[in-house]
Amino acid sequence: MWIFPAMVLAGALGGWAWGMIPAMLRNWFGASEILVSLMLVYVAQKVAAWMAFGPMKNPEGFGFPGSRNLQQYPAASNPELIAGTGAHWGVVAAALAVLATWFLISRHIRGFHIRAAGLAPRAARFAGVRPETLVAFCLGLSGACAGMAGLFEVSGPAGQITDSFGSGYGFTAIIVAFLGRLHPVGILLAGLLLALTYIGGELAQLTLQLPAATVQVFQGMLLFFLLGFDLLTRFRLQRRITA
Amino acid sequence: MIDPLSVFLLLLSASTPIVFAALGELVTERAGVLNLGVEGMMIVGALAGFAAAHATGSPFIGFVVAALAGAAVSMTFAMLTQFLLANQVASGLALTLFGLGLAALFGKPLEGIKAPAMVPGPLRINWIVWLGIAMVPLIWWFLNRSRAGLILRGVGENHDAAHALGYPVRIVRITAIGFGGAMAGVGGAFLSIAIVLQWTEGMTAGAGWIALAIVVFSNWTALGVLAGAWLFGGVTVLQLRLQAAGVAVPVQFLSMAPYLATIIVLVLISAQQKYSRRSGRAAPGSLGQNFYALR
Amino acid sequence: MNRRKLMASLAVIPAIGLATPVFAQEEPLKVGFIYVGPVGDGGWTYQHDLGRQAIEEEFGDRVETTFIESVPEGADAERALSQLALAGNELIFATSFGFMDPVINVAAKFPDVKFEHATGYKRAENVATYDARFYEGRAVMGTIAGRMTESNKIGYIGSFPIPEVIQGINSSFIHARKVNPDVEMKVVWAYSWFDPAKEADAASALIAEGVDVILQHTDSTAPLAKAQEAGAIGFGQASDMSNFAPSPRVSSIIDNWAPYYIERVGQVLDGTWESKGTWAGIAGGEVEIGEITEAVPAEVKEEALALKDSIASGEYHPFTGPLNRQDGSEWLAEGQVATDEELSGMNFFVEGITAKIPE
Repeated sequence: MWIFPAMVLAGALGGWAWGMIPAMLRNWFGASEILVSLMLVYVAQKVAAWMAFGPMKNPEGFGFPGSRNLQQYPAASNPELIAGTGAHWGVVAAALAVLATWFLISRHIRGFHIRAAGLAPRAARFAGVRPETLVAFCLGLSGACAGMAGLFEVSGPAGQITDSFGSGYGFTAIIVAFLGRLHPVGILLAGLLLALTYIGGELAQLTLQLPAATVQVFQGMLLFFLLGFDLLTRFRLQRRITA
Repeated sequence: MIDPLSVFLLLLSASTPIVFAALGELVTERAGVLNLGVEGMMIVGALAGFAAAHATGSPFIGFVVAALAGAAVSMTFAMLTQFLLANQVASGLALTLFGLGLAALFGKPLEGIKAPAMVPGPLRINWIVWLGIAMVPLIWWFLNRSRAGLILRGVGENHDAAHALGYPVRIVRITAIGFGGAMAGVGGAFLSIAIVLQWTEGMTAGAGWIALAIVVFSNWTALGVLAGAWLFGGVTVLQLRLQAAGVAVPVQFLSMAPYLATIIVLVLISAQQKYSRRSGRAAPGSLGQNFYALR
Repeated sequence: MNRRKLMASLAVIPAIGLATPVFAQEEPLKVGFIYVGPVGDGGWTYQHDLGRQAIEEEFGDRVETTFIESVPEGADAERALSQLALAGNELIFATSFGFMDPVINVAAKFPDVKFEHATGYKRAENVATYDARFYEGRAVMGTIAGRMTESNKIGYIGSFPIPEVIQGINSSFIHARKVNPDVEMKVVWAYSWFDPAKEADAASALIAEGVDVILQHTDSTAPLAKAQEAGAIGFGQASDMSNFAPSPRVSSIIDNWAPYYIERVGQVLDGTWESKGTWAGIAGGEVEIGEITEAVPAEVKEEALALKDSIASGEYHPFTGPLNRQDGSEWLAEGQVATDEELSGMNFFVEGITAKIPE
């Protein structure tokens, strides 16, 4: 009963701890959090690979890399909630996360501080917002969210830790965040849109016999257009009047 | 026993794709632009270079075309980030996706064809390898001793100040992005024309991401890029050599080491800058930020 | 695309959401494939796709095949498999080891759909497994390698330390030793099935150790390109790689899935399909030996082909005793033959190999 919730908690905690590394290096030494976390992606991949080949290798797996499959342990698995839909606890958690993030960003004083610090760091500092606290809070929180996302995948559809676990979801998430204009509801919609291109891409391969590369090009172009035309929502075009 | 010279010669050629890509990204980042699309530009270069080399029978033309193709595809990124003010991280990731797909699509007819042979240069090492090494002092000179390099660095450190001084921030950045694309293209083409001698979908297999890490490791200096490429490549070459010599090596830990080293370098440099306020440079001041003139 | 295909594809869309295929009798049999790589990888996936094309050629209008390529192992695989099942495919081939658990899960949800999983070991009522005895081909390669090496050092580029690769290393070493008692084997692990830059480095590392014959268990042509540069020889892997013939590629080990695919589709069509594990080799045509080029002396070629024939006829098994494990303990007594269970879980090198399997 309690194993799965404990796993979710541990997943969040692990993500939080990993997210705190760039946060602390930023706060103590001023190291760029973008670059540190980019490097940590590779380190994390190697750790996962090491786990899949070493300590976590399934002893009944005939020497193949990869952990035991959690789906075979009901207490530790994250099964489909409604059969045939593919919806698991992660879907519920994601919905809750959207609500919670919306509340945090729009209704809570801490969210106001975050937005203020993002828009005008100096002004926020004068208003008594400590940037160090915010960096630690935000990176820790996003680490926890990412950790939970990974846990729901590993215990659900993926079932096991393998050397290739991850397959770029983290980078896709960055794109989703910007596509969603950094707004919780926008991110939900952008996430759905990207998921649609994945599923639609597979359907296009199936029914229209398009190669996967076409889908990739389409995704890239879709992103180009969405990112490009974001300009029009943030700025107003004005005809320059020359005297 | 393992002969250091042979390891080094191996390293020279093994690190060449990354040296090119990372030097290009270095110049781009020194202009204040973070382009995460290196992998996408490399694979486009790998395909275009291979196609041209195959069509003309001349590897040299292949490399030229690869540079042009890399630069051309980087212009989508330049367009997005410099004119449409799109986020650089997201645009770069989109460029990677686009490049991988584009190359795979257009590469279909070239599958299974062998590249034309190249004439080896001095020490039986490819001319392009020597060109890559020669680019290091050239780029160092450009960044640190030339006027154009000074402007480029100015744009990267503080684009508002550079703009106020009357420098064309946007043009400088677009040029830097294009140069980065051309170099990534040559790096990719070295893989297809000189290392694998064949076009295969997805053949860059993450080399572009390593190039990005090396730029950070280099502390944004040309010499650092070479050192980084040799360190990153060296770890791989050395662990394979040790394996071949029958020594058991903890592969995962060894391959993790350069990335940890990069983080440590980054932290040390940042700390030096933060606490001593003297010398020491970290990331260019405006790295990853978009510029728009308020007036 | 012609109009008929477009109509067919439109017809699929309403069918999505229904768990069972409709009109199974009238319509052609739909066969789906899920690939781990792109069909253009020139190796593993490419060969599976040739098998798919062979089905179309063999059965014509009676079948309709589709595929989804470049599906990452893990969470995405389950979704892609479900889509294939929902699209009305009655027989689905999953062509990578990492699809094993997703196949088992999806198969439980679609009891009417038949699944075929390559290289795995889990079966169910509607899940069969199939694999090829690549080690039989490696025995032939090992014989050529043992005869051809002048430095008495042969190298093996391993992908991952899994039973299939360990079988390959053991088999090629045993047969190289048989024809050349002085031969030594160097092993490097690339930890990848496909990474041209790394494979090139691995080949260079072997060459620098004095190796002049390279066997590869990774899919790119980079090791052959390096071998060519250094004047060494190598073998094609997965596909023929004949554009590197006659040298450095002196022969190749080809995965040919077509016979198995045609057999299984035929069984579905006539209703005799049942779940089983198939492990065929040279005899069944699954493992082919690519043309041995003129770079190999005629008598060596003859010897290699004779070995191939004796394996094909079942007269000889590549793992026949006396054979000891690496630590010197006895594995197979004189004349004893390794069982399939032993082979499919193989996690040790045979005596004489000095490299260690990474833990």
